[in-house]
Amino acid sequence: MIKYILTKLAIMLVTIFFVSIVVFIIIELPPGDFADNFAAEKASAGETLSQSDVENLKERYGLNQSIHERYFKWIWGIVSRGDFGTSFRYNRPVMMVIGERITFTTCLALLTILFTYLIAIPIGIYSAMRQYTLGDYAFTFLGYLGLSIPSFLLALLLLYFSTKYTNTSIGGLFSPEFQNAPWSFARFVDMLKHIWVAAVVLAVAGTAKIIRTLRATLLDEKSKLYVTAAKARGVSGKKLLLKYPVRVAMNPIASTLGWELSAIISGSPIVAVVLSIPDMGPLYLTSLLSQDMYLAGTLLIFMSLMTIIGTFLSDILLAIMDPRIRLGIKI
Amino acid sequence: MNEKTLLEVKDLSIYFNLREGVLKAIDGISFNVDKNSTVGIVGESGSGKSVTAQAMMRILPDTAEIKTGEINYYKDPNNPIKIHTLPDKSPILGNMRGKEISMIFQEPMSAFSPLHTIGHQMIECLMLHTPMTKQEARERAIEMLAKVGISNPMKRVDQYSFELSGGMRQRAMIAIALSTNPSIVIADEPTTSLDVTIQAQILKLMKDMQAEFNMSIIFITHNLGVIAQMADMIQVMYLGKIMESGTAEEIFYEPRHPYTINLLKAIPKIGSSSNGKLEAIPGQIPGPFDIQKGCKFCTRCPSAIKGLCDLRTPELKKYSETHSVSCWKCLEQEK
Amino acid sequence: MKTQDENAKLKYYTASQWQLIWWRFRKHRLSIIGMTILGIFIIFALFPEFFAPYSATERNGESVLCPPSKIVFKNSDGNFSLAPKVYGFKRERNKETLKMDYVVDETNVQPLKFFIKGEKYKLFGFLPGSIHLYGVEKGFVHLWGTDTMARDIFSRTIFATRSSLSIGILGLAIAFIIGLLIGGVSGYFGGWVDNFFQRLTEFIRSIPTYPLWMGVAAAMPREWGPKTVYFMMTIILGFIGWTTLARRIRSQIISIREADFVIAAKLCGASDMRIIFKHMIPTFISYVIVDLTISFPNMILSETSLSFLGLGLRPPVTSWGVLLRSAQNLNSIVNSPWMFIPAIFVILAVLSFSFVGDGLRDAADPYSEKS
Repeated sequence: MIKYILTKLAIMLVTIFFVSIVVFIIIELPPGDFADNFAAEKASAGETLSQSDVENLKERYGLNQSIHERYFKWIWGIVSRGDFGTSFRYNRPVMMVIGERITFTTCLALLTILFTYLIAIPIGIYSAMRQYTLGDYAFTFLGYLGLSIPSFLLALLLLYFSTKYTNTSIGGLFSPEFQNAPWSFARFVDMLKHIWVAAVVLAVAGTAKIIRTLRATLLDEKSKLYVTAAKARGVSGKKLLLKYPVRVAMNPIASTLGWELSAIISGSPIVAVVLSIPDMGPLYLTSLLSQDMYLAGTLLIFMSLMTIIGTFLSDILLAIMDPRIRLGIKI
Repeated sequence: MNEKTLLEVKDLSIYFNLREGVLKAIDGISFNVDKNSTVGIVGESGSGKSVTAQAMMRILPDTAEIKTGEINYYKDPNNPIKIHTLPDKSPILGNMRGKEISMIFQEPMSAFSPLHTIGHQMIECLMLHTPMTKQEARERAIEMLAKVGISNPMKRVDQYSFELSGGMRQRAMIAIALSTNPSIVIADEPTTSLDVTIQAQILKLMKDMQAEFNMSIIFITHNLGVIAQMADMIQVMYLGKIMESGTAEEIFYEPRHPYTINLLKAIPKIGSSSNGKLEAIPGQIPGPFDIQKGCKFCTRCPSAIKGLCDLRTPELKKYSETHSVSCWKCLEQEK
Repeated sequence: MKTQDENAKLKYYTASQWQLIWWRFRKHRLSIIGMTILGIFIIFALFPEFFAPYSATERNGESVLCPPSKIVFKNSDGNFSLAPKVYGFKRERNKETLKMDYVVDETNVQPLKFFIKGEKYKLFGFLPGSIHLYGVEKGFVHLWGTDTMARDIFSRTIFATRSSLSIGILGLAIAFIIGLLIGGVSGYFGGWVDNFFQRLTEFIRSIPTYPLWMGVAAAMPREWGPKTVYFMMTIILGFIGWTTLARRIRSQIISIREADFVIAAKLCGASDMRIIFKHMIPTFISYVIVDLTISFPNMILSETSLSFLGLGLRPPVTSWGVLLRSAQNLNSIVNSPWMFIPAIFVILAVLSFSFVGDGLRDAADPYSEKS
C-alpha cells in the first residue's frame, strides 16, 4: 500500500511539472504580448504610446527574453520564493491578486462533490431496486435532462427566474456586510448561503451521470451469485442489499471521483462568471482576454493542481475500498 | 413419508414469468429427503435441478412463482414448516437459511463477495444464527477451516476469495455451510468446476463431514460417476420432471426408464473397443418454451409409443418401495 | 415449402450485422424519436434559407427585442378560421416605467402565408430560390421575437443550426482521427509505445478541460476572420476531444487482438488482411460509432459554452452559443425571455444524440439485456 501511494505521489509530481510546461506554452500562444495589448487598448482609448514606451514596458516585464528564459525564471521564482510572477494588469504580485479566490473555488468544488454524491447515490440505488417503476422512469428522464442542459444555461435560467420573480439576485458570493470582512464563522455561513446555487448547478451533470452508472452497475451486481449465496446464508433485507451489491457497485463510482472533481473544476469558471462569484473562474477569463499571462498561467496551474490532487486522493480512496487494487491483483 | 423423512416435496411446480413467455422450469416433481442420507438429483442442463435446489430455500429470483405443490420441512415430526407458503420476507425463512438448510454453490469464486474476506462472511453467518460473540465466531471459523482441510487457517481466515485456489475456495464454502450444523446441505454441482483429483478430495470431505455432523445432503450434478459415489437415493430429472427415482443400486443396476438407460449407456467405459462409437442420445434438448404434450422425453426416446407418449403424461409405476418410473413403455411392459 | 415462421428465422440468420443492429435499434422508441429530431435538424442545417423567413442578419428596422408575433386563428368576424393571421406591434410608452413597450396592434393584420415568395437566396451558395416556408407579404412575422439588434430569432436559430452541427461533426471527425491514430497505435503495438501514450493522455487529462479550451481559444487573435476562427475552433475541439476516444479505441483494439475468434480465424487459415477487415474491423466499428455518437453532445456543449463566453465563434457566424451570448446581459433581457429559445435547440440536440447513442449502444451489443 505504501508503495502504491509513493508511486502515485511520484507520478503526481511529474505530472505537475509537465502541466506547468503545457500551461506556459498555452499562455504564450497568443501573438503579441501584454505590452502590445496594453498599447492597443490605450490607442483605442485615444492615448498613443511611443515605440520607446512600449519597449520600456517590454523591458520591465522581461517580455523580450526568449521563451525558455522566461519559463525557467518563472519556475524558479515559484519553487524558490513562492513567487508566481506579477500581474501586468493589476501591477501586483499574482498571488496577491488571486488572494481568497482559491479558497472560494475549493469550497465550491467540495460543496458540489458533497451534493453530487449525497443526491446521486440514494437515487441510483432506488432506481436500480425499483426498476421500471414510475419513480425509475422519472429519475431516468431527469437524468437525461441533467446531462443535456449546459451548466451555464441552467445558471442563467435560475438567475433569470430569481430576478424576475423574487426581485433578489441569487448571484454573488456574500451579502454586502460580509463582503470584505475578515473570516469568521458567520462569514462562512453567509458564503454557504450564496454558493449553494452554483454548487447545485455544477452538481447536476455529475449527479445525472453517477445515477446512470450506479443504476447500471447495481442492476448487474444484484443478480450475481454472491448475492444469492449471502441470501442463502440468511442475510436479508436492507443489509443484504447494502452490504453486498451496493458495496461492490461503489467501487466504480469511487474510481471516477477524480474525474468528477476534474469536471466540476472544469465547469466552474463558466458558472462563476454567470452567477458573479468572485472565485478563480472570472479572474481567469479576464486575464486571458487581457493577456495577463502570469496571472492566467498561475490560475490554470492551480486549477490543474486541484484536479491532480483530486485524482490522487481518489486513487487512494479506491485502493482503500478495493482489496484487489491494494494487493496488486489484476482484475 | 415416514418418521425418517426430513424434507418432503410434493408435486412441486415452479414457473418463471419472463418477458418471452412463461417458462415451466419444474412441472410437478415429488421426492423425499430422509435424515442422515444423501439424495442425488441428476440431469442435463435445463432439467430444472438448480431450480429445485434454490426452491428448497426459497432463494429463487423474483420472476419465479411456486405454481402448485408443497415443500414441507419436518424439523418437528408432527408440525412441518410449510416452506412453500412462507412469504418472501418471512423471518422463519431468514432463520432457516444458513442454519437449518445450507447451500454449497458451483462457482466458489463467484459465490464469495469480492470485497469481504472469507472469514468475514463466515463470521457473519455464525453471528446471525447463533448467540456467539465476534471473537467466538472467529475461533469457530478458524476451527471449521481447519476441519475442512485448509492449511494455515489463521492466515486464510483473513484472506479474500481471489487469494485462494479453486479447491481451497470450495472447501471454504463447505466450511461456511457446515459451520452452523445444518440438518440439510444442498450441494449444487459442487465439484463441476474443479479438476478431478480435487474433486475426489472434496467428495471424500463431504462424506466425512456428513458422518460427523449427522446431516442430509441433496447433491445435484450432471455427473453420473459422482452421484454413484455419493447418493443413497437418486432422482433422474429431465426438462422439469422426474423420469425415474430409486436407490443407487436400483438406478445403476436395474434402470428402467429409457432416458436413464441411455444415460448410462452414454458413459464411455474403460476397456470398450477403441473403434466403438460413443452412444449419444439422439436429438437435442428442446427449447425451454417449446411446450410439449405428453412425456417430455418422447421427442428423443427410442421407445416412444406414438399416440400415447406424445399425448398423455405417463403415470407412475412402482417397481419397489423405493423404485418408481414415469414411463408408458414401462407400464405397457408389465401387461 | 418453408413455413412463415421458418422464413422469418432464415431472414434473421442470414441478415448482415448492420441489418441486425438496425432491427434492434428500431425497437427503442426514444432512439427513433431522437433520430427524427436529429433528422429535422439536419434538414434545417441543409436548407436554412427555405425554412427561415429571413436571413440571419436581416434587421427589422428599430424593432429591438420585439416579442413573438401574435398569431390568431380568427377571421375578420371573430370566428374560428384555419387561416392564421399575424398581428403587428406598435410601440407605446409605458406610463409606469416610461419605457417603450410593445403592444399588440389589432389593426395591423397580415395573413400568414405558407410557401411564400420572399427574399431571394442561394441554396448551398449557388442554387437560386426564393420560396420560404412561411412569411407575410408586408411587414414582419417574428415567431420567436427579435434580439437586441432587431433580427428575427427564429431565422437566426435555424441558420445557427448549420454552424453548431457542422462544427460538432468536424470537431468530432478530427478528434476521431487523432484518437484512432494514437489509440490504435497504442493498443496495437503495446509495450513502451503504449506506456508513453498512456502517460501522455493522462497528463493532458490533468488539465481541466474547459479552462484548457478557454486558454487555447483566447489565443486566437482578434483580427482573425470569422471563417478562420470557425476552422480553428474545429481543430481545438478535436484536439481536446481525442483523449476519451483514444482511450476507448485502445481498449477495443486490445480486447480484439487477444480475442478467441481472432485466434480461431488464424487457425482456420485466414489471411491477416481478411482477419483485419472481415473480423476485427466490423467488431470494432460498431463500438466506435457508438462512442462517437455519445461524444457528440460534448462537442455541441463545448462549442456553445465557449461561444457563450465570447471565446468561440464570432459574428457574423451564428451558432447557438453565439445566440445565447446575447442572453448573457441579464438586465437587457430580463423582460425578453424569448431570447432563451435557442437554448431549447441545444437541449434537444444533446438529448437526441444521447437517445440515439444509447439506442445504438444497446443495439450494437448482442450481449446486452435488451433484445
